[in-house]
Amino acid sequence: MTKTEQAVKNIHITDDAGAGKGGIHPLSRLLVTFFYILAVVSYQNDHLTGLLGMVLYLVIQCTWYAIPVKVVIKRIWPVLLLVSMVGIANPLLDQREYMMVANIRITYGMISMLTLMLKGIFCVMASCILIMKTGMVQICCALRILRVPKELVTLLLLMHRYMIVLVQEIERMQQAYKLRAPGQRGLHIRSWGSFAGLLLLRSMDRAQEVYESMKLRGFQGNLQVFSAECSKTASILYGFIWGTGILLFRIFPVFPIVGHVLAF
Amino acid sequence: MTEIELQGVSFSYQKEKKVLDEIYLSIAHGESVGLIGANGAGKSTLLKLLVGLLTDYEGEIRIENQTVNKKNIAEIRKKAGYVFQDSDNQLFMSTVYEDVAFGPRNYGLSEQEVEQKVMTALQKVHIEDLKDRQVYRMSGGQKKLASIATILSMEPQIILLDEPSIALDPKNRRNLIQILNEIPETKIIASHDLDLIWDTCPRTVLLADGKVAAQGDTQKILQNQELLETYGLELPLCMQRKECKYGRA
Amino acid sequence: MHMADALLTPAVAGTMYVCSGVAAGFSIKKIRAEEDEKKIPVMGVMGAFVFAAQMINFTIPGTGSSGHLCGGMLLSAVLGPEAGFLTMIGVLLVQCLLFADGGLLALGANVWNMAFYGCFVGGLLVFRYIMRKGMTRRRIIAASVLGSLLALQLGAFSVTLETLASGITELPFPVFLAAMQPIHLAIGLAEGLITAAVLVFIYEVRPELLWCCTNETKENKQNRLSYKVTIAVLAATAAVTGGLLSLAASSNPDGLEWSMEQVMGTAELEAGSSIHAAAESIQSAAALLPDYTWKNSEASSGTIFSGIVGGMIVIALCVSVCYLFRFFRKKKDALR
Repeated sequence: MTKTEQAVKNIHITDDAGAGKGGIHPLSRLLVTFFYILAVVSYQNDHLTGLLGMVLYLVIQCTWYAIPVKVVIKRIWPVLLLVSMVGIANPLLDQREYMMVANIRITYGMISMLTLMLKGIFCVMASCILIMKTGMVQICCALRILRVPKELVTLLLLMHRYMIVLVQEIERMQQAYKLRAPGQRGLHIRSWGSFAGLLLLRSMDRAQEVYESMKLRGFQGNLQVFSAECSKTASILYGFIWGTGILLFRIFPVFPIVGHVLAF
Repeated sequence: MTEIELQGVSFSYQKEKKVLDEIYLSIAHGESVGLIGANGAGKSTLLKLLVGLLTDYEGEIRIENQTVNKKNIAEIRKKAGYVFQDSDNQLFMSTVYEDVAFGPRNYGLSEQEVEQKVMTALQKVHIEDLKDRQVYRMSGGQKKLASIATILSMEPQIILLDEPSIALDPKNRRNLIQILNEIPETKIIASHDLDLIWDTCPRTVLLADGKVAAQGDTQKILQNQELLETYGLELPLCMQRKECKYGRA
Repeated sequence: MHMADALLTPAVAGTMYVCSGVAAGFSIKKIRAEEDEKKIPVMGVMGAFVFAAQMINFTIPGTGSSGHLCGGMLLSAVLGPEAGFLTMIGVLLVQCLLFADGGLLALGANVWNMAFYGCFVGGLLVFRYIMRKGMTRRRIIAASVLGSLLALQLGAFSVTLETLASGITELPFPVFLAAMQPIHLAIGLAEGLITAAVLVFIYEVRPELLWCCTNETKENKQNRLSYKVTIAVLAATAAVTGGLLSLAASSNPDGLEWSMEQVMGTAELEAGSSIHAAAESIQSAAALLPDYTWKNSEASSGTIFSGIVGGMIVIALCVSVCYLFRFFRKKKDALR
């Protein structure tokens, strides 16, 4: 699959967002996700058992909303690669013993690398679930409530709309290029300027026409966003329950406590 | 009643070359007028002048006895709607409903009124079922109908269409023709698709080199092969009745 | 070089949010003062353009590899640095949400590393300075390459600093730096050449689109000078405070961790990076015991075992409850 096809596919996964009418306000979802990421990231490097408890949020979200886990897992690999690259030195440089399991010496370095990878996976999955359930437009609505300047929100909405149009245009241009330049893997240096430059010029012309079209329909500087129908009680409840839940897990090692109570 | 009146209108983007040169034209209320001409004849420029997208013109343009100028541009735009050639540029919101509602919302209507206007507009082009569709998931034909609906929701008296049938397949094109014929408002349709003009407009204006080369009854103009070929056009396909080149005798 | 959420601590991420937020607020103010209604739609479509252009593989001659566009500098040259910066924020936000490049928490850091340097250092300082006596082909190439190199070097330096301040890697600072900077020299050069190629093309076809081409009056020139000074001061202070703040933040346990110590009465101070070493040795000399008792209990296999058992039970319970709910919901919908 080419990069452009992948991009189009990625944009399409949010298509059904909000279609289920979960009734939960985008702001509530955004804040919970942000809080979750904050909680995950705040764990120290060797706090593995505590961090593992955070998986519960993802598991419940995925099962409750029937989110295709395959799609979410696919998103993880690039981040995992990046995080491992940064963390790879830890097992080599930090050889202090953490514990022994069946004669295998587990070092602090290994644990910290594992923690890092888990943090990466959890954060990406959480944002992926957010966008799949909420969609870009509704997130813009939440941002507007959070007093993000309206210029920025308008910009985001338009970007989201024209992204796919321009990506498809690139796709067509690349196909046309490839067909006439067999065997080349990318774009030859002689065509760098004209290829991207032409697209830029066309985008500028498009922007002019989009602006005219807005102007003709009474545009006054900003696009408005309206939140989809949602229930106020459900949204507040959602925020409250998840907020306290995440906080609880962050403060108390819930998994070991439950295991302790049940096993002994 | 005359609705659109052009009196010696000239316009140029650069000083040397005039795109429109002394145009005189009057269009009555409820009329459908086809605007034809070769590439660069000034069709799109003329339409843009009528909605005030271009204002530095010479002569006078009057819409319902109101001169089009920078001062009353807002009023003019309430009266005249413009459907762009590229639907993607016309539909800039994410869903069809949001886009069709954009105009009415900007005129400060309540959400109930907006919804009613949107639904009426969508019904007129028969795409009520596409209300919540993401714009980038629609076909070319659906996008065209949606962009006409965005204009209809503002309830203009005059609708200007720039190449509405471009890139539509035969079925969608026929559907578009039917819908255009159902719309009672004054229409000006600029197009190379002479068959579309043939089916939708009783009157045709032929532009060439910025001047009105001919105007009058569509039947007469579009059947005049000599006239059309002089100005770089050809007979509508429905007139050409050619044998299939590779057909068996 | 998108930073991931996992590579930052909340304190460092917060600091970077503040820095980027200040720059964004400044840009918004500037854009509002321009009162150009057309600007925002153009920025929106150009954001989409940059996003699309990032998908192009530019083959670098002589090597098998390909270069990519980041776009900050290109946008600044077309829209002006403030508009370019805001547009880049949009690009980065969309990338983090739709494509998992970067993250919600790391957005502040990414905006700073990739958009701020590209737009304000590359676009405003370098590009504008070189173009002050008019635009030529050669100057465009020089400015693009120089600006991109500088922006990418600064960006890479920031990434290193932020990662180390977050204390997530054991790599010593010089080693990390030595790995990051040369790579980004190559990336910066490629980005510079691509930017140059595109800008030269635009310059030859439609020069009026370029931001620096607008004729300036004397008044404007004066404005520009004071403006440049403001930006330089802003950049310097932000960089210094940013660096200091994050260092300070990470050599102590960060806010959340600290407040939890208060609640739980446990000190969990364990940091390995070289920056932390000094602070740590003092800390452990002062309070060795309480730290260790907790450490051992955390690390003991008993805790881990009960953790695993407890985790499995809780997860299984939650999953089955969710499935039950979904099952009944479906049934209810089917009955309707």
